Amino acid sequence: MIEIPTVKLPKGRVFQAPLELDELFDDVEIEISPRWMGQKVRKGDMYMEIGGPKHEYTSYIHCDVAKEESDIEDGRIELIGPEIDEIEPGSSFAFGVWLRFWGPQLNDDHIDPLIRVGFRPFEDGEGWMLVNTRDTIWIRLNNESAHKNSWRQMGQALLGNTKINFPLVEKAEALIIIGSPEVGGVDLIRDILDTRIRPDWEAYDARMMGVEDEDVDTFYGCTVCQTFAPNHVCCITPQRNPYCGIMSYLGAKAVVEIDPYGYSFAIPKGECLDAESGRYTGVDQAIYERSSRRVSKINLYSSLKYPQTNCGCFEAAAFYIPELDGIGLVDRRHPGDTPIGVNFSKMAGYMSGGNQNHGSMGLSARTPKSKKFLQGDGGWTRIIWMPKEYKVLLADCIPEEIYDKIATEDVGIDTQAIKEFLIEAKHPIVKNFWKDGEPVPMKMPKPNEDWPIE
Amino acid sequence: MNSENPDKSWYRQYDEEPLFPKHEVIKTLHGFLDYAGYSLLPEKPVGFMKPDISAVCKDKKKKDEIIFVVREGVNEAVEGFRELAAAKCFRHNKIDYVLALPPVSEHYLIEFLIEQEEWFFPIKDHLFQLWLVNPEKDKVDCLIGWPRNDDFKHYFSNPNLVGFSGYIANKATQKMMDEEF
Repeated sequence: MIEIPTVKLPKGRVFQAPLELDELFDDVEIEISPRWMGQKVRKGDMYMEIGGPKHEYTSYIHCDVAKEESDIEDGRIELIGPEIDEIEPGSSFAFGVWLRFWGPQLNDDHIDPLIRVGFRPFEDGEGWMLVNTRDTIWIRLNNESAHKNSWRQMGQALLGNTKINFPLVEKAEALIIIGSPEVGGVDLIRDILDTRIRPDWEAYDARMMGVEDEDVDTFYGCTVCQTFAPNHVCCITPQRNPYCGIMSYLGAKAVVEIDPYGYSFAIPKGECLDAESGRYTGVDQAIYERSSRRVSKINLYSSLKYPQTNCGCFEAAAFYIPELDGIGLVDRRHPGDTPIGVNFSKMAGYMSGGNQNHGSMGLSARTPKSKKFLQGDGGWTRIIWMPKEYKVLLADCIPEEIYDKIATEDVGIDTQAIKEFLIEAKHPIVKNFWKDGEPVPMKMPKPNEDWPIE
Repeated sequence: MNSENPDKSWYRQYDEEPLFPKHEVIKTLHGFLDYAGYSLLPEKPVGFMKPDISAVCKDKKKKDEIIFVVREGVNEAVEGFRELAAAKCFRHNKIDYVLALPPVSEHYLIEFLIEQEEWFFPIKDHLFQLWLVNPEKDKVDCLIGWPRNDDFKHYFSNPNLVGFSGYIANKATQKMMDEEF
């Protein structure tokens, strides 16, 4: 049973969900299907809302794995707060949903994929709108489907869906708290968040950040985006997330355990050929086999030489500026042109599609936070331009001594103006990469071609 | 219609080259539908439009009918959905409505759906579906929406690709907040 010793919880109502596999969805009246994924419930169509900006996102959706089988009561759903039909139409509450799972092979490495699978009934449920995850969660139910819905049903669907789609889960229970004023409102949810949930998230994140590429023997690959880019393969390592940002290293590991013949696959690292640029024999071989034999070499930490191919869902891009022998970064939100004369949209147009474009590479939101970010190109000492909003967003991961030396659109996109700025600001590129104070452009091979042997 | 001069058009044109012609997409879809247990219906208009394909499930208990409009790329997608909307005026929610395209640039598709334009919202509001059909690899996938006959999950090349809708929906968050607050 889920207990929160740090907070005194009001008494809730307890329901028992069916445990037999063929009865898991008995009495669930709403349709749960990807047909409903991504639907939007506008304010005027809304029956009720939980989470979201009205409560400054003081809400949570949380998963954990029970250490012992005895720590879980299979099928138990506890509801603290009002049932859906007891809620005044138009209401908005803070909330918390906590799912606990157990299985003999289940461990904390599975939490990331469990979250994705576990909350799918909110995403795929008829009449529901789910936006964001974790502590920025925002959920709405529409008027049309309200009469068919109840928390009892939703709890049952949450547990049943996970058992069906995540076969390592044998037992599951749920604690649903709707923060109406009668049960303590947003303050109750805030107390739980602060004393129990956030510490769990921080511990999980610290564990994820603590794993380095050198610590593991196996990386993972993903070919989901081959529907769009038929030769594209993503390599996922502890310090290198896929461009889409959707999957993590541990997430990919769990997906392969569950579905070893699916679109994610294990990549034994093999021999390390270049630690600085991140080149491994196992990665080269796996990418070659899965890219219709179009790509034979990959440097995991380089955008200049043999970078990974790009699909099209990257959040930002690194691009080579030949006139300055440096690298620029631009994110999707920046509408203006870059020092290479095109905006993100045009750049992404020629980068995407699965070609190996030396000198340009997609980035996820988390990629620049990696210690190995563009390590093979000189890392942050090679970054010379980025939009100022993106720079602010990445302020925590840009080395302090370089931050003010990176040009933005305030300096302009004219390479001569940027050059003067870099010299004036004493950017490390001037000393480390330029010759006698002058940039020496690299001659990039055409897409998919090899670099000349040095 | 020009992406550089949006005033000249009410929807964007993208710098794309169709990968496969319409007739190859149709041929691949015919094979796929047969494989998934669907029969083709005779070609006939639905109100003011004529689908490229109409198909019905061979399992008579299910009575699932789907109509398809097939186009060659993102640049024709608005017109394709407009055809589906015309059909929906006559058949309402009784059947499934699918726009089928050959593989297109994921980046342009994201721009079309949510970043530069916002077609994702009306597509979802009307429960239209977007399928991608690769005649070379003989693969079919559903990117947006989902057929009411869930058995298609056994036939799509990668049923997990429907997560693309969730990805786009998350991108839509900011636009939704701008609209509401």
